[in-house]
Amino acid sequence: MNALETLQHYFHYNEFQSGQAAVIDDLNKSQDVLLTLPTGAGKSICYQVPALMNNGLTLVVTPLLSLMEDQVRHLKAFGIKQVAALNSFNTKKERQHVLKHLSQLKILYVSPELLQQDWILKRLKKLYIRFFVVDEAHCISQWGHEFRPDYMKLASVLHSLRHPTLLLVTATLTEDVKRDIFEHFSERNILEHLHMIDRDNISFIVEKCVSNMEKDRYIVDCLSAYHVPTIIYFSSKKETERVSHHLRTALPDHRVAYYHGDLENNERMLIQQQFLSGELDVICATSAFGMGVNKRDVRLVIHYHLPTQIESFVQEVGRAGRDQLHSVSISLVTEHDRLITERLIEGEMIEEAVLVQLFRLLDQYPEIDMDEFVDRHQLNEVHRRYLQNYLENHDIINDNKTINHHNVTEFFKVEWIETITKRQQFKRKKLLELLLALNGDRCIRRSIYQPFQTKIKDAPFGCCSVCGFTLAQFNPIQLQTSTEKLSWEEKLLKRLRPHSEALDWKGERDD
Amino acid sequence: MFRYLVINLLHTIKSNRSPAAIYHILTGKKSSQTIQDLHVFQLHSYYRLLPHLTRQSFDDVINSIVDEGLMMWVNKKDYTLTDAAMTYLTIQTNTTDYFHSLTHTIDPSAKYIFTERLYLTIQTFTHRVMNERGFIPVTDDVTIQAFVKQYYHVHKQQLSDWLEACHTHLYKVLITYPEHDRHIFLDRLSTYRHSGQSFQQLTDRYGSHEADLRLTLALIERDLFIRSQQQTCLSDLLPGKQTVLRYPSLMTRSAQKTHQLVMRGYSIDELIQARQLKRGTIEDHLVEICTLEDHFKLTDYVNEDKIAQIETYLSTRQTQKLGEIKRNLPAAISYLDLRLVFAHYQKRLYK
Ligand SMILES: [Zn+2]
Repeated sequence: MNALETLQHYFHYNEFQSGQAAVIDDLNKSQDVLLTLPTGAGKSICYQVPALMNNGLTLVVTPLLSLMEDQVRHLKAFGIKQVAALNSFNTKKERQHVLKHLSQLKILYVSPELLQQDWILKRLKKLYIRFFVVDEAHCISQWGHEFRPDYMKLASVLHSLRHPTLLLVTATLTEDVKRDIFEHFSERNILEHLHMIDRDNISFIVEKCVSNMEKDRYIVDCLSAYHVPTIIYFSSKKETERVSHHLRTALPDHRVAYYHGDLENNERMLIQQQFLSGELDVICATSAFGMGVNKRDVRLVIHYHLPTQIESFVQEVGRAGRDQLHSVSISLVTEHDRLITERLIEGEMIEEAVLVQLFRLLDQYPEIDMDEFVDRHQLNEVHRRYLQNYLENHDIINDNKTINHHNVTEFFKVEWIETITKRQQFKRKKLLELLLALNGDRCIRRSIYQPFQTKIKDAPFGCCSVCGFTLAQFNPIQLQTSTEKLSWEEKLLKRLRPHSEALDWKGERDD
Repeated sequence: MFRYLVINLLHTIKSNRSPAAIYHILTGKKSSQTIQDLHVFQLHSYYRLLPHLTRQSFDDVINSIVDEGLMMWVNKKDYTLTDAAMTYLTIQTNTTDYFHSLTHTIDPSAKYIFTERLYLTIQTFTHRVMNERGFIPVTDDVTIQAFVKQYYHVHKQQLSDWLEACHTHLYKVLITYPEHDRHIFLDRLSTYRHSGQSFQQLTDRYGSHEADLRLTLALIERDLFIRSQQQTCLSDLLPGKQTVLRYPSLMTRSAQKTHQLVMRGYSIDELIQARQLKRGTIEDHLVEICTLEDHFKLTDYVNEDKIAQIETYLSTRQTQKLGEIKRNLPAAISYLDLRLVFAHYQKRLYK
């Protein structure tokens, strides 16, 4: 089968979307590729098709657990069964199951922290790895908006796997990040496939509000006028719940739910599935929602709170209008936004005081118990990995925790603190950049996409609120939901015997 | 109904333990203390009844019980039930019917496997019978998925027969539950063109507390599980070899290792040495072993004088509060002495 036949056979699409075929050709010729595609433009097809066409295993490194699981489910739903995911949340049983069938797999998703463990590397080295895919490749860069310490070691992993063909994928690539990526994989000859990521079917609106009450009111008004598939983004879990309850009361015809990282896995899956299949209209979510959710007809993305940088904003907005129909992004901004988001940034960073404590331990003790240190300072898992990797990379500690005092120099300490301070300043700069882009008097679309590309497409449906676009110009197809009361006997029959001819219920809904 | 269950359990443990002990039993915590509680109060059939119940939901119910004057806090951990609670328990009728499935002790892990298989089979068969292949499985557990895949292959020619039989069976079971509960069970099912409703959605739709919803589902699932042990159309979904549940095997693995040394007559200090564990951990193990193992020789660890003093005190007082006993006995008697004698005493009392 050639690439197109493979696509048609496995995925039932008639043709490739723009950009996909060229990447697949290069990969099949064993050419390393750096690819940027806007979210939702089908970047996974770019490696899934070659993976299915070629011998050997395709290894996909992705930091996002939900994305990994979604992709596996998605492929299985297409009847492609030789796929699996390995991450630190697998149960022992699941992990054994995967390892047992490793040699039969075509695609294996794996989280970066697992790739650093000997037991898995040893198994992988025995296999023929055809493609090595790094998803969310911007995580390699210290300057990327989602720096992942575990990505710092990918080059050496790649090296130990006898050089499979490399594909680096990201939706958000700035010049700084690109430089870091090329530096990290300096021994490879990487070809760029960079596509424009601006979305000309999305119109941008910024609405200044003075309070949360005003935001609530705005959303109720907006959604009563537009009953369309909608995602509302928040930075606080509590607020997703509060606003979701509020909307349910204010808009009884809308089917609303909330989604955040504290929900049980099962509950999250149900909500996601309902949104995908059109059983839910409005979802109030934190940024945990959306990775890998490929719903094509999201018409509205509302930011109740702003993220911490333009890259995340672009990614979240990009979940609207994947079917190319007119869609709208609305950002509700207040004067306090800056404070809220700055607090978020502080939470993400390791404080200087923590480093100073760490230095004290390094100076005074023969070995260090990282778990205890992390516990005492209430650091999260990302912080822990960051500290651990940093210390290992500078030969301060090795596996058995013994401290190499020789390397704990004043220079090392000063340099580390400087790195952290710089990073904090950098984060603040990024936040400011986003706030300026949304609050300035320049075209919003231009301000948002400029960090990624110099040319920006014209917007056929209307550009942004600065350029004169108003919500009144938005005229999407609206959802019709009907509620129908079923007795429990009818429900049971309909659920268990959908094929029963006594029932004719095509297209109707029962909730 | 969850409220009734909690008050009933509070009544059973008779203020000897804090309400959190009930939470740990319901969610199936694998700690020595919880396993001791199962034995002492004979609550095996409640173990892991609601594995995903959140602490928040549980505490909400406790708080509402207090607010309504059914329970009073004596101090931070200890409580008493009021007369109003006793009245409440007696006037709640037809609860025996409702909770009938709790009269059987079951293996919670076998029930889990059965239930997950059932839900995934229903989801798979209703989709396939409509020639629909694409859906997101309700469970991520690969062993469950592997089973249902096999099961599907066996039944793929008779999907509608299987669904019809399942429909009839569910009808028979559901009709024995209140109408409200039937709807909850059916709304939670994921089937063709209907994704199961999440707890937040069920809470909104039925105005029930999340803990009540979980209990409703757990009781129906349990009922289906128990009935399947007789021959029903769902019996194929039971896990292969029915393991007979012996709760002593629930002894934590670490305590089992200690137990082997205990049988060889190690002293406490030798245990600490040999196991390289903290004294407190070894003490916990000893108490656990004392509770669970009939052949544990108390006199190996507490001298007979002390045992006599403690037992005398216990036989004259109603209290079971360690702190109080400790204060009233000579200082030479340690907490460990007390806990061991106490565990031993309770074991005999409830046998
Ligand atoms: Zn504009």
